[in-house]
Amino acid sequence: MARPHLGSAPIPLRMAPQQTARNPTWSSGVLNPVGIGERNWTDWQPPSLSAAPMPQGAAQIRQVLGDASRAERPQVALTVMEGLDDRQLAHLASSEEGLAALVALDDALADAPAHLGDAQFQRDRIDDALDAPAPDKDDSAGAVGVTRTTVQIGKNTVTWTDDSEGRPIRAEADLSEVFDGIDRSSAETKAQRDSADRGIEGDQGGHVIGHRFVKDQGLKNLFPQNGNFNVSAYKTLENEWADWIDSGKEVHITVDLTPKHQDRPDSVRVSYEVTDPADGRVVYDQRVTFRNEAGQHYDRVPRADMANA
Amino acid sequence: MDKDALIVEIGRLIANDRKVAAQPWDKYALVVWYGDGMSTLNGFRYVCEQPAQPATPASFELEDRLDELRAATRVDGKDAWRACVVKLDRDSGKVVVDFAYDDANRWLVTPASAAEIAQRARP
Repeated sequence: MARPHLGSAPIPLRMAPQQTARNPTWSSGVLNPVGIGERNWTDWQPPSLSAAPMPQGAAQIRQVLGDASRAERPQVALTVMEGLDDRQLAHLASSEEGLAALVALDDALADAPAHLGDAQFQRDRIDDALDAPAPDKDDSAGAVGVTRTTVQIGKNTVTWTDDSEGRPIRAEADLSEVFDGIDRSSAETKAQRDSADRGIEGDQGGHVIGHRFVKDQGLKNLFPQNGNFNVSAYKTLENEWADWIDSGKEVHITVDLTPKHQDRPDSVRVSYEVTDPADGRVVYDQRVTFRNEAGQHYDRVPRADMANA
Repeated sequence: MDKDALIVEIGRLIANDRKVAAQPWDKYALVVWYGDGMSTLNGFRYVCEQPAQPATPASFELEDRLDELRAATRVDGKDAWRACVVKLDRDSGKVVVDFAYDDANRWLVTPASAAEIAQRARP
């Protein structure tokens, strides 16, 4: 295979071992710099918590997760969850600090690799703890938590995760149907205004998952979105999804609004995967990150290319 | 995190990602492209000499590390790179990162270009 070129300089596919040993830092400095970094990721071993005291308090849990690298966190979260019984989870769910710990555990488990087979089971336990009434919950203290809501709309299924103040922080959607020409209810229009009011001048109440896929869903599907971003780049992406569906494919989407727990997200991170329902094959997948601001252009997949995917 | 630590962390995040790890692979390439205000990621899994399979990681934290790497590798007086290819080799455990400063659109993946780019990015 011919060596690829990035820029105008040929790329050595790999630094010689002795070069790596002598100069372990990333190298640059050629006229048209092409940086080559060669490192080893397999030195890492999953952390063992078995010899350490099991963290049970909210602060301890967040500390142990924070101390772990991001790659280690799913395993750490799994180990922590295995050490907590349902009563302890319910107790955590009864306080704001505990809820933050549960959200951190859930976030870590959401990124678990496939071989951590219990991750979904543990996420379900967290869901149950969040849904269950806490026995020692002090309502007067205003304890609040995340909520996860799953709705079936026609052939589409969407799960929204909202934070303690009802603001969406994530949505996961399996889409195979587009609803064209659906009027928005006055309640939806009002919810859009309310959402926009949480933002800054120029914002609209933008749909996390496009209205054409889920119809009226209210505030759980709305965030303050820069108006230009809403009607240009993000709409273009929605058009692409609609065309994938029209071409007979299914689209699986995860949208993350970051940072969490603030009125107006700075970034919108989208991961989507297109599958052929005939054989389950992934025909295309992509991740796109937008800033919540004007002037972005999204080069969508042309409809003509979809037929060959 | 310095550049070296970021590269190792990115390799770990990819190798341990649930979507990437869902199927076996010998080699892996992640194509990263930055446009105006936005960025895209497209990942490919390779087994022997078979055609690449699309397998973009699910972890959203990867973008944070890539943004950090882009800042950490910026050369004074030059724009930051606009594309990079992260290549993993399972046997050796090595991660190699190539950066593109010019003609980055050669790495903009669409269904029409995916197979050709996947072949070009192959470790």
